[in-house]
Amino acid sequence: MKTKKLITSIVMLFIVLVSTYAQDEWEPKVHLTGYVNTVVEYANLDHLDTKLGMGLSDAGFLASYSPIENLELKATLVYTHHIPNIQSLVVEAYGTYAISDNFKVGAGKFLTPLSPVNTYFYAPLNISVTLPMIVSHHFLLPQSISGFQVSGEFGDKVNFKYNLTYGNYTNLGHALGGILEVQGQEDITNVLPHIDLPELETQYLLGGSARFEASFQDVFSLGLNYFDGTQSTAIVAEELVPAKKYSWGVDGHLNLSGLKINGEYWKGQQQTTDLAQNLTSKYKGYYAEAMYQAGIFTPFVRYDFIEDINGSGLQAPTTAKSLGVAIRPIFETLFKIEYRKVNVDYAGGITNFYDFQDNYNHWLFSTVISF
Amino acid sequence: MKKIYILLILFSVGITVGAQSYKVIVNNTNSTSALSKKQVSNLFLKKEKKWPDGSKVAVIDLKGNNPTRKVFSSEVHSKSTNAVKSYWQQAVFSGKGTPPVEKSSDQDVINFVKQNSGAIGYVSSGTNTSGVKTITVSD
Repeated sequence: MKTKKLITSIVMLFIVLVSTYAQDEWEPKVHLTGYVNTVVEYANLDHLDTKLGMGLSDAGFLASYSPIENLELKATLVYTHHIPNIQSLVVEAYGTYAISDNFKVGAGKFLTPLSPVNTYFYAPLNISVTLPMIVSHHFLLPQSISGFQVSGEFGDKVNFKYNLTYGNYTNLGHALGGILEVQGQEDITNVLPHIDLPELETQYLLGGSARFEASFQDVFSLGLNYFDGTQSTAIVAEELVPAKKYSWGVDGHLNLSGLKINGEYWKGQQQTTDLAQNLTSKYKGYYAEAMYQAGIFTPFVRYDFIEDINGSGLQAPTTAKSLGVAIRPIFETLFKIEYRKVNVDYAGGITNFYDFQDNYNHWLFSTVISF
Repeated sequence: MKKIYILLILFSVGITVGAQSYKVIVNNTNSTSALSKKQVSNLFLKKEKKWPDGSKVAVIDLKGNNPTRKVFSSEVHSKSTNAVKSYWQQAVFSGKGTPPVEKSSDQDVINFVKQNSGAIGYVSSGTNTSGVKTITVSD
């Protein structure tokens, strides 16, 4: 009886809310956007069969639909020439219902709502041809989480946002990118060919993320991020072993009259839960970048560092220094030109046993056509 | 020499025509009568989402190729229409928001503003805006 009353009250409340909003005429909104990213790149790695590559790197298509004011449905498909499984093509597919600006609920598959992925994942949003390594390596945080989400924001000039997401995630390992397939697997490239295990990539593990952000008049923002892999898997002697992992990160962004400075620091740990195969691995990554928009030109510099766990279980601290310019003469076309120097430091006595080059130069040119 | 004068006259006429102005309009029930350019920009970029009385703002825009939108983007946002479109592309992909609904004509904008109490839009200065309220935009 009590349940019936509660349901009736909720339905009545819903009708009152809907009729309040229905005073204005709501027009359903459809938004379609997408891009095609074509890359030319040269890497002077001796062991590459071909050092010059060109072609389609990735293509994305986004559709969003709001049939009523407070409901949004969104799906984003991204094709890259290395998709481990068909599920990876669907980067996002979710619906969110805004009860108010302070409280929104969502269900579906979300691009992991932590700062770095959302800022850089799509080619038109990233002025560099490459992703920061903490994004492309996917070890500190997964690319997507499939499950449920609550989020909201408070305040105007001083604004606070929160986002909590929990569900299944997949380990994508080091994501191959670009044409030569050296982007996103820098340390592996120098040690071995790509050997992330396919079984690792297709596992559905439970995990959740939390993000809190404070921004001040759109000039400065500070974020705190946490990812907890309630379930994870570690590689011990080429076997998959149950594990738990967590990662945390802080990010700061300054936006002042065309000058933008972004910085992010992440740290994490993975611990096997099988005591017979006790293994703890620690990993970290960070980057800092500065860019200045002057009309259609945006020159930029970035310093990138990662020390994570690659497919062979090695941890090779890797740095990348990038210098480039993004040019956007019209909205639909974005050109990027970039030089990148990648250095790998084989710490802990691990040597480059295949005698590959440790350090290499990487030149990149990209054309992003979007609508 | 004559040709140069003719070209200069044509050029200045072109500039005058290009510098088409705009009027910012709200629903007749809206108590707001004046806003600064910065406030208007914040409303159209959805950085401010509520009117002073706490009601929700409903933004309506003109299509990207509309000459009034070009002037509005330049004067209010101090950005090109392309830069504003890039801003919305960033917002859509990163999940921060969606751009306002776009209408093809001034009359469509006026109709939307008439029907929505929290609406704000803009039309070219020569448009008859009876039935909606025109607000003053200061620097």
